Amino acid sequence: MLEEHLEMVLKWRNSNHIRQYAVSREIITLQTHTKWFNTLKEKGDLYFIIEVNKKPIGLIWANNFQKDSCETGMYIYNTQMQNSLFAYRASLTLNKYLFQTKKLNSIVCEILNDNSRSIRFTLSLGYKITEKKEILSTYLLTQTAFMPYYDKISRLLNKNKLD
Amino acid sequence: MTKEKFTEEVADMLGVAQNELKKQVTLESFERWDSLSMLSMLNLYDEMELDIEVEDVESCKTIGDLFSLASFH
Repeated sequence: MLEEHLEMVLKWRNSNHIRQYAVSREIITLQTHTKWFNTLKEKGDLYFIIEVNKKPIGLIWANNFQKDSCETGMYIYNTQMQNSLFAYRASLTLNKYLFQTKKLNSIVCEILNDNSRSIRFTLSLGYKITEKKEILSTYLLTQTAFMPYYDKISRLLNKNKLD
Repeated sequence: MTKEKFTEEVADMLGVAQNELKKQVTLESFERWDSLSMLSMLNLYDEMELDIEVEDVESCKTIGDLFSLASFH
């Protein structure tokens, strides 16, 4: 994610269909958003625009890096792409990078309990629920759990395609 | 795989009764038609040893389209 994406990402983040399932649902100002963006490099947080045919469709991120873990999240803003398989491609790519290049042992994400699609998607990647709270639950993915899911899903997605 | 077994698998994946799988019904009308369902269909076709790709499944609009990919009409 670059500075040129700031306004677009702010518009995405403040849209009703994205805010509905965000952990924090308040409307964010451009000032707050810009301040947040300026802290990313220092904190080592990673935010990527997901593009399909060079058109931005969503955002995926890894943040709150600890010694051997981090948190991740994603949303697909483009409603026509929300049921496509690009979410899998983006998640598999990021998770593989986090485990194999960043050498993390685990990845965590938080999902609202009423976001059933996201929960189904997350569990299908090998995450397990570790903490269930009233509104929000925490899901954990270990490297050991991840690799078999990665191998299976990426084989299905890349059938007949060159690597 | 028989058509009956395929129907059972698709109904189970979509979380509906088999008699709801009418040819002309759009996939978007099913609450559970999402990226996981698409992946599950890819997996099902793979288990049936059919040469079906991501684009084939993504272009399906109806129940009939899913069955056609498996050559069930």
